[in-house]
Amino acid sequence: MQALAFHRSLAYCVSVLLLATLAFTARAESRSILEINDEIEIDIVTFGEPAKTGIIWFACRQGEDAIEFETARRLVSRGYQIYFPDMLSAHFLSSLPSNIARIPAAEVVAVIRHIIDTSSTERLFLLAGARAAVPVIRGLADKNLQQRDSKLKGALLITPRIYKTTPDPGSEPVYIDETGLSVHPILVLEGERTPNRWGLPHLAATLEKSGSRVQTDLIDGVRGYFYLRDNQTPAEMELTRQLDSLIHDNLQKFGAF
Amino acid sequence: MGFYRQLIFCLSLVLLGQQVQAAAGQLKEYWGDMTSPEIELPDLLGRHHSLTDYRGNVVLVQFWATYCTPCRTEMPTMNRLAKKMQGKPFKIVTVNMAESHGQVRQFLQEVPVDFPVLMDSDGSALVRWKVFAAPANFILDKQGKIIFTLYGAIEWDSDEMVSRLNALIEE
Repeated sequence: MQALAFHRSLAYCVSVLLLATLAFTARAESRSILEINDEIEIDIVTFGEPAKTGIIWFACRQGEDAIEFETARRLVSRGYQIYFPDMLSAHFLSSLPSNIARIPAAEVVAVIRHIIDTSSTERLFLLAGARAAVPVIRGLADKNLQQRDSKLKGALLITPRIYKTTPDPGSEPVYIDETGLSVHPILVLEGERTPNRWGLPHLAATLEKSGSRVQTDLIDGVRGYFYLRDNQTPAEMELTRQLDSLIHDNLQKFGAF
Repeated sequence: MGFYRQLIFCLSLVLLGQQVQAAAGQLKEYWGDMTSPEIELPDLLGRHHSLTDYRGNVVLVQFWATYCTPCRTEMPTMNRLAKKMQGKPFKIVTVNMAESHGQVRQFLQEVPVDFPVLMDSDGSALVRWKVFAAPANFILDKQGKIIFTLYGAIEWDSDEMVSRLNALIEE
């Protein structure tokens, strides 16, 4: 009886140790600062070790309890390296979705260029959701990032909102000026439960104007920017928990289109 | 630090939402092709509706969805508007945005309405009417021309709205 209790305790201790090790490994992150023109300092948080595939994730929210960071840790365990440039703090801007759209294109390009130059990953993808897709579109429009041999392989946009203003009823959407200036492949995911899904053909046609191959897909049962909502439905909560799978599965599609 | 960032983010979203709503609930004169595209759709019970049948009436056409929170809030005000405009050449026609019969039925049990709810199952009406946000409202004159559009929720039974609709009826 005592032996059984001892083995149980031992198994428990080993499990706790293993979990702690795993948690520590998954939480491994580093910080660096990119200085632009001696004026702007952009904090870049990196999750994971150098890997074959890297992701530059433009997010409104950063921090330990942001779902983006939690998802990044899961993506690290799938073999990715994730970079989070904090574009807002450099300008003392709050995590307002509209603020991320105000970041100058030059800074976005400098960050992407810096990560391309310093990262040892073989291929890099840009990732953003909702209004944070604006800096991605601005980055992709830059001629200097459009070389054929670049590590930059494309962008995954989750329920992007790149309108100049919300489209009036009866009017075609109008996007930010840089839309349609890219050459990289772009994969757009949109919620099935949002009117924006009906704008996907128009968005794809606009994004393709300068040569980007664009693929669009619907995510069943969720609204736009589902993982950022504070009134999530059970389906949206579940998919938020599986955001790493959604990102991983869709990044796999880039080789195929 | 993380908590405060989250808090600021949530407050920002709330503020942004309020700004959007405040900016949204305004009638706008429509400057596009004023001829309203045809709507020929069944309602929840399978009865066929055609927008041309409503000619001679000022018509509020609303595209809505059960997942749209403002739609839920404003539908009771549309019921009250329909009551206020009773006996006048005014109709409300709503078009659901390609949701299932089950989803719409459940919604209407919670928010009963006194006007037709048409089912645009494949979204083709949405595309023809260029609807990319919800709720999307169109006000048509008695000839079926789009006169005003409105994105977002408002108090449809407000005195101002009733008098604007009455002015259209008298034109």
